[in-house]
Amino acid sequence: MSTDAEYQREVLEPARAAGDRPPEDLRVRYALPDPLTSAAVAARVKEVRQCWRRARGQLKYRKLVDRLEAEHRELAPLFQAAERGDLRPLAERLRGGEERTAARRGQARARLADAGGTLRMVAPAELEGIARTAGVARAELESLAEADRIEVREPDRLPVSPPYAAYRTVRESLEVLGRRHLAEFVFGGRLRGPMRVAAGFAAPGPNGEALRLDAAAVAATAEAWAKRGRDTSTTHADTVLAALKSVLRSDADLLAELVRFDVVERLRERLRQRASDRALLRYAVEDLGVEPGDARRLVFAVLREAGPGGGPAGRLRALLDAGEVYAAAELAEAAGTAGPEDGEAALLAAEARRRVDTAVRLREHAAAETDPDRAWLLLADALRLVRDLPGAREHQERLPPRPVPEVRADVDGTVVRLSWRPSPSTAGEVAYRVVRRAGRPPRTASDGEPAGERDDRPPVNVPLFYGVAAVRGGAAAEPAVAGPVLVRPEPDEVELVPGDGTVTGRWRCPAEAARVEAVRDGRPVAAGREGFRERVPNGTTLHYLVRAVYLDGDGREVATPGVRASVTPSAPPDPVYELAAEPDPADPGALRVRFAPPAHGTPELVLVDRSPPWPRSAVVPLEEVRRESRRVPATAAAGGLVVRPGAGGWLLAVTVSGGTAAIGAYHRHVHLPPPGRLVAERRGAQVHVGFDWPPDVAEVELTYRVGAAPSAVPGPAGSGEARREVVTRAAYDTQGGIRVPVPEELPVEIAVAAAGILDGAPVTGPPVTAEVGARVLVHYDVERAGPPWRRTLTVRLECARPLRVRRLVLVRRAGRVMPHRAGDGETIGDWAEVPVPGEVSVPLPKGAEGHWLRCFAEDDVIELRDPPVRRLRGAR
Amino acid sequence: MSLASRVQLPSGRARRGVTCPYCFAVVERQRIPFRCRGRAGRRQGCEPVLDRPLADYLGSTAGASLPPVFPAPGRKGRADCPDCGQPTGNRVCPECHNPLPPAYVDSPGRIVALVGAKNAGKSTYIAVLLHELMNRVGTELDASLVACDDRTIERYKRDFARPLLEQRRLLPTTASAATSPREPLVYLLTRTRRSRFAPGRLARPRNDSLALVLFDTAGEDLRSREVRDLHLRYLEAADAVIFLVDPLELPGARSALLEGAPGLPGTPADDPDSEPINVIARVTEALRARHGSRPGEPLPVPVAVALTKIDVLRPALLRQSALHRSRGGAGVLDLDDREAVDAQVRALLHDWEAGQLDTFLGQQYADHALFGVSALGGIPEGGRVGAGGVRPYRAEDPLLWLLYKFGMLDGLRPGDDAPSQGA
Repeated sequence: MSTDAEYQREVLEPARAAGDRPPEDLRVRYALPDPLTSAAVAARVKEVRQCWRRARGQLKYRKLVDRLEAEHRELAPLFQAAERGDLRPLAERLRGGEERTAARRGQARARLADAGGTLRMVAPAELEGIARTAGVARAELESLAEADRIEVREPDRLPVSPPYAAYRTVRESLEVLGRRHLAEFVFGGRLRGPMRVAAGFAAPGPNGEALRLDAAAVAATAEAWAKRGRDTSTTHADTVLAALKSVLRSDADLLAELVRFDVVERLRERLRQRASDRALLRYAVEDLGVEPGDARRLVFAVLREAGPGGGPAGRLRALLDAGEVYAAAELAEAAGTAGPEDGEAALLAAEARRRVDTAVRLREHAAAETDPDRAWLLLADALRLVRDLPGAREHQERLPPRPVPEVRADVDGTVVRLSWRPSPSTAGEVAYRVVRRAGRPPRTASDGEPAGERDDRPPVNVPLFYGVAAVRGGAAAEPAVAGPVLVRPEPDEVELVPGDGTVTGRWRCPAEAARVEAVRDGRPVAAGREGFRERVPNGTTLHYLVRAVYLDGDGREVATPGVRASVTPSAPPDPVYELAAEPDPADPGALRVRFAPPAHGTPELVLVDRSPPWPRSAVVPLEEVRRESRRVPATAAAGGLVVRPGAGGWLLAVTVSGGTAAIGAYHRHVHLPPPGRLVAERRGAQVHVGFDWPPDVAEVELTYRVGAAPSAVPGPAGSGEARREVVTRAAYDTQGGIRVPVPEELPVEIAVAAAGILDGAPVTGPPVTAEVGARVLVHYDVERAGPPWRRTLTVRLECARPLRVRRLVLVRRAGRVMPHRAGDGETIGDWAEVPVPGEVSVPLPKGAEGHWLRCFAEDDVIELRDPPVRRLRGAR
Repeated sequence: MSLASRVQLPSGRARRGVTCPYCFAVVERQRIPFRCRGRAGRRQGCEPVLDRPLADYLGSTAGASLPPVFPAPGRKGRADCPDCGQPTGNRVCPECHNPLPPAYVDSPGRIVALVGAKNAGKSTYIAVLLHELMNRVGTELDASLVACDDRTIERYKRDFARPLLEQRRLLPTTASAATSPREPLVYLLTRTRRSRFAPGRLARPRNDSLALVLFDTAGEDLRSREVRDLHLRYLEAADAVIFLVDPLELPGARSALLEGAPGLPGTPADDPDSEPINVIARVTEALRARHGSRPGEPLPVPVAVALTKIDVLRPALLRQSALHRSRGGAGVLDLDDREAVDAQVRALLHDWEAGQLDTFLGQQYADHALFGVSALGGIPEGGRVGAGGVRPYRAEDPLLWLLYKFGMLDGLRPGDDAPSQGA
């Protein structure tokens, strides 16, 4: 659906024709797209409803649109569901619509068959009535009628009054003479077959000749009768012959008309006697000898005129109903002899005459009225009373509305937009016609090229006048004029490109412009028709004004307001050719990137998660770099920048200048944050290492150097060799930390660093370190010697290296509990500065049978190591 | 009695029948019914039916629709289903219809009960002990630990492993069994050993199995006699008891420990029921009732008493102590180390005015041993595991001692060549 007009033509008009019945098929009603999509359906429904609202402004569509809107309220849930994406209810309904349409078509067909009856004929008005009530298009019903072999035709206009005034006596005479009808009287035995009477007389005679109903035939009949002896029947024959001759005298054609009237009158008589359609047809064909086709036509016409309101009254009513009141009045005038029994016809005739009288008065008032709007309304009233009032419609068509009071034309670039105040006339449908005229104002509504509210292609550099005329029917008011306006486009596609010490300007010059001028800071720049190029200093922002120059009617130059643009020329950025990146020793997690500063542009570092897509030294638009990478915040440092990438990737140096960036060298960065909270605890001959695993790291490298710690603890420092071990996260978790075997007498230095692979080679992040000091272990054993009554205890001390224990105490405790410290029992030996290795002895004093013995050293450096428990516990 | 000596285990029950590790009913080995294997793929078999006893045990019919259970003599551990004729080796407890693994039915069922007062760290200890047995210690011992049923697998993952080991969150206090029903975690620990008496090529490997039934009892469930009865059957069925004692619950230890570790939780609940000796006394009472032993007669059940959270002990307190060294021996129990730790912990208990705990155990049990364990290896911070994650330390010691007692682990004295064979 492209326009309202199209929708009105294709949807609203047929619906209106079908009795303001909205089309049942929603596809048609909403001009739905095929296939259905939720977005398209929603858009189309919105568009169609807007179209309804606009169409409702026209009176003829109001009722239809009201119905459409009422039905739309019921259909709204379907469209809401469709808008949400659920098209099923709508599709269901569409299928239902087709079924309903089919059912309605079936009904209409049945009604049509009923109306056609035995004759299989319907009048167009009946067909239209059926179409209207059944909600089927007329054309569709016509095709159905054709398919069902039902003929649609206007019933023949049968004469209401006889062509011969004394027909009644003729008829009586024919009956006395025993003739079936007038033709038989004329032709008698020569009539050899069915006759045609509907449109002129035709009948076969003897030997295949066609019988002619003319003066000769009448004369022949008269002659035949003249030869017979006079009797009562000749009198009757004379009556008939006199009628025939009388008709022949006035108009020979009326003879056939009289014959037809005779047949029709007989059918009318039978109809009044309640004969059925079938009986009438049989009577016409078999008894009256009418050709079957003509018989159908005549019976059809008789039936239609004899239907409800048939006869003269019916004709009058039909004319009045159709609004042809003037015709009705004329008919009443012509059939002024209507019998007193036809009271209805008289009533209708009076009505028609009264309406015509009123309408004629109104028409006369209108003719005298000076105000065209009032005249128009008077004529509208007259036409409402009598649609076919002669001269009224023509007069109305000639009444123009009041002119448009004001019109404005605005130039908007290359487009002219028109706006006007509407005509004060409210009578009738007022439309507006816009015309454009170059050089002078348009004088009438057709003086110039037709234009619209928006003139998209006005002539350039020409004074233009626009006229807007109010139009009603065929009459246009005098146009209101705006102008002159001049359309002078600016240079198009103005572009300033900064270069290294240059600015290049480019644009498209309008064809009608004489030239284009460029101005920088108030001074003109040497520019051609399509652009300029000039040398300028780098680093300064320059403002340009570019305008088109036209020649006016006098050949003078006129410049447009112009287009403004600014540009800052600068030297192209130089790439960073080489860079070196290393972890900042002072700050784990930070990376110190060194490079030689580029001659032009500002260097910065960006992180790309894949190999940089640009070749080195390429100069690319800065937006492209921004789109493909993440800028890494950096702090300036000597010889480069310090950054915290925070993730792995390619750390790329780009030099930015203006809107371009030069691609420099890159560093492949593996993000290996240091482990957190390293804990190293000595557990005997093992050191238990734990730390918070760095995020997103699968492995760590553990480095330990046994005996290497330069600690205060005396020992074989610096003799160790670093050992490396890679520990996976899974191993760490399942083993509950890392256990490093370290002899207790030796210190250990432990470093843990996140590990990864870079270009196939292992790399590690910044390590965290811990030191575990050595223990100076002095093993001792207690030996009992001597007989039970003179037991001596010998404490034997051993160490990996010779030393002295500052104070050694031997404690005995009775009972099951081991002494826990020196004060937990009886001190039975106390020595100072005990050399190790060595031994000390003491006699065991008398005491309890079950006891514990244990040595304690009062020394900050050394740690005693007990012998097995069984050596410490015992009897004497 | 020497600590390292073997205690005669109560083997009469084992000969008599099998204790169901779920409902703790004692069943004669010949009377253990079978469950049909059911239909699977193209194999014919019985349709699942609602197993009412299992549904009653689970408290829900979800997961209780299984092929039918039928009684059979069960020679060689297999029987043919009377309905579908398919042979099956799946055996179930006749009372609760929970599955009984063949290895459990065949080997003496050892049920290890874990007991401790509130906040003793039982859940944490269970989580870490099972993790150690599945990984480091399992490798060392050449032992496998497998869950006996799907519910155990799911509960271990959901309630223990995921929060503590993966998310490093401390486990919440276990809800009382009075408010939420609980099931034991049932594992089968299988060790492969080569006979030392047939060296060389004749040394054929032998598998020994132990059912490890761990019942995570809420601390308060043991504190009152009424609620404890819910767990009575569990305790009664226990072949060994691991008793966890939080040193911070010992009044004498607390002040000494708090000086060294200011981050420890505040004062313990001033509740005599939560004192370890009172909890032990009640458990003892239950065991004594079941064993029917006279008051003066020591109970034959081995009891391992472990001081938890020993990572909070000040280094000065552990100087010259075996507790700050790693366990000696690999794949064996170092008996010297065991005795040294036992003596050290006993000394600590007496030092902390908790000597009567040791004395009471000595009076009531034929065999008890003292241990120091640390499940986490460090002090937690803000409801989460401390620095370095979970780094358990000597957590497996009580179980190794029990394995030694059950004859599944050799003992060894460094310097002696011949190991002491398990009982």
